[in-house]
Amino acid sequence: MRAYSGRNHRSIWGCLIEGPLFKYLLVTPAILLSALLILYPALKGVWTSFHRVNLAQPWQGTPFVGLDNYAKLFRDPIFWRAFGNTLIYTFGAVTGQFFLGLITALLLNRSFRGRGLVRGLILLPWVMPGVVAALMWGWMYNSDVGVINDLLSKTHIISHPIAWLADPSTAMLAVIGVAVWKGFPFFAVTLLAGLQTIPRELYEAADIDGASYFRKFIYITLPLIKEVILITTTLRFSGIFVYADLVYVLTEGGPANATMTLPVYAFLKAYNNFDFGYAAAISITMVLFLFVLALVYIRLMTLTKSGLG
Amino acid sequence: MLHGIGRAVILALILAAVTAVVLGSSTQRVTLTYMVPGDAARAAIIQQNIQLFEDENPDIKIKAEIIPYQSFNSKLLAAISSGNPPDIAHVYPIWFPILVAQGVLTPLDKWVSSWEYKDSVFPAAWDFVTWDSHIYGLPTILQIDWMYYRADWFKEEGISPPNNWDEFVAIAKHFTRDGRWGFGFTGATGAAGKYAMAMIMGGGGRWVDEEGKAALDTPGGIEGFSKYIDLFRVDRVCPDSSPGNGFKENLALFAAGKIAMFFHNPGSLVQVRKAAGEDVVGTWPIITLAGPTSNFGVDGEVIFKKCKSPEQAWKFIRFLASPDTQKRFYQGSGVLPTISQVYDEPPLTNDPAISTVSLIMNGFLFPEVPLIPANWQLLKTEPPGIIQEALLGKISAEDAVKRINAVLAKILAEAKK
Repeated sequence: MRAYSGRNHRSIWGCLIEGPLFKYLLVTPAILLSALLILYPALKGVWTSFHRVNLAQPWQGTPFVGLDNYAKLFRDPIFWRAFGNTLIYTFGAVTGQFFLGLITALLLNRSFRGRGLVRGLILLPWVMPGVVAALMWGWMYNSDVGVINDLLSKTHIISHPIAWLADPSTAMLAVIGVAVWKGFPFFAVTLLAGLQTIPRELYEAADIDGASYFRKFIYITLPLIKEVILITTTLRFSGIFVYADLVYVLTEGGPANATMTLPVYAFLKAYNNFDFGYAAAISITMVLFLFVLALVYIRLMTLTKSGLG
Repeated sequence: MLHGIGRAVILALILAAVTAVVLGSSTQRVTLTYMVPGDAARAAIIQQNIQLFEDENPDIKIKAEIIPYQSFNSKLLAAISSGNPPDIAHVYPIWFPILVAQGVLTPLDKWVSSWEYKDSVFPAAWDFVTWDSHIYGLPTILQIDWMYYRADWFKEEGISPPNNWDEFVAIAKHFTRDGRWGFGFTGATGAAGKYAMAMIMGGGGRWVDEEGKAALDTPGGIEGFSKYIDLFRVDRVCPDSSPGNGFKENLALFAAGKIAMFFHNPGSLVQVRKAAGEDVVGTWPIITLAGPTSNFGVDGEVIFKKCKSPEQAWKFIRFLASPDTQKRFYQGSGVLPTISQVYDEPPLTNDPAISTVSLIMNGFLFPEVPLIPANWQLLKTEPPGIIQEALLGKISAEDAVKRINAVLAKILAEAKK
């Protein structure tokens, strides 16, 4: 016979609060919200990719088609063009944003009058909505009435207007230029934060040893902000890879698919053609690619940490 | 305490009675949701019309959702697909067959049969809204395309607008000089496909042949399209930015004095006149190998089956289709009425642009889409990329027309049987 302990008279609620399940109770609201806002749409997207779902052809219903959408995707030359373009656009934009951001961070790490104001102003491209930036740059790039061609002509850099967004040989470069302008403040701010954690004594010691600016940058600055660089470039890569606004507003993927990227292609398939099944297949393929990228990132982080340790 | 409770009870009863009266009076007023495309300028006219209607019909409230043109189709379709359509919507020509096939529209026969303006609507307009002998929409906007030209330049040089293709090309070449271009080619957006289709049809292409197969790629159709893209590739009378230009780019070039002519539709007349100046803007039919050519369709107002107050909904769409409302729309934006008698009354009789409409209506017309329930949206989304490839010389005109024809064949193959 068990001795009376008094605990047999606790309510169920009391048991929950004091029991081992309490920690799960605390995270339940977050899990439910994540399931509703993230898990359900993701699973629905996967479901859609295995069905024929075309809102403009309701008489076909939504039959299960297995891997048909994925097979169509692999046979689609525009998909592969878009995949290649997405890699070019993403690498180009991240590289440009990084270097411009690094130069800006190095400059802002010095003392000068008005530095606080400049630090605030460089955020303007970042905070401007993507659609607004794209519309503004679209007019600037216009070959007949755009300010860029006007300036280049007046300074005799070009003799004939360039159709920046209408010529396949310049369209991708023009779009990457806008992306670099829009995103460099992110790198500038985060790299500046990293630079400011570097002890000044290291630079002073290097000065005493007669190290040049370049050597200080290579042997002091870069190693100590390596982790920041890795995190920011990986985050920006995945962010830009799935970002459709700039390209869609500037060129809608044209001319002749020269700037077509995967997120724009998925968007056009869904909201222009109403072929949600195929658009979902494109989106899931993008997710899988980014998942592999995330695994590579984690591996690199692990190697970096063990290297630093 | 009892005294306090007594006061509270009396107060609660009074509050309940007032609420019941308020709610009771509000439930007598019917609220209808209305989805309609529009920009800022069109929104003002829509709101004005709604206010006038509500003043005349105090028992009906219209809750309008005015959606930008580019996203209207997807929002309407999403609302229908989710089982939450509006009570009333403004519908483009290509959507009538799709919505009828979905079975979501209320037939309007019983009301239209006694509508006083039924016989005043252009007969061809009824074709777009009549399916299986039932009328599903009330036509409110006549959709045709036309050309804008710099009337000031033409007048200065004593040139008349073109009557055939050779004259059109000659005029475009004449104005291509001194930093100007003769013609603003539309290489982007869904409109690119519409004007290309006019050129193909004008050359002899057809939607379908006698066997019902896609027939755009006839030798004449290919020739019409080839001559059209040669304006950019060979004749060089179009700006270098043409592959990426849509209406807003062409309007900017037109207003800035960079292009002499460009294609669009009457719905932008007020906007173009405002941007470029009244005395600058001339209108003329689009000229193809067949002479004056245009696609033809109607926008209409529809009532969805889920509407719980179809009688009130009919009152509203009847108001939208009335001569006075159509005149107001014309004055505010330039969209063309569907009621013929309106053309014989001011303000339309005072507008020189209206003479262009009769030239177009007496020219070669083809339906905006074949009147078959199918996914005609693909005709707007697929051709622009193909046209851009042809413009840039990546594919020949013949290949481009064959590919567009293949898109048409795919649409027909997947049409509702």
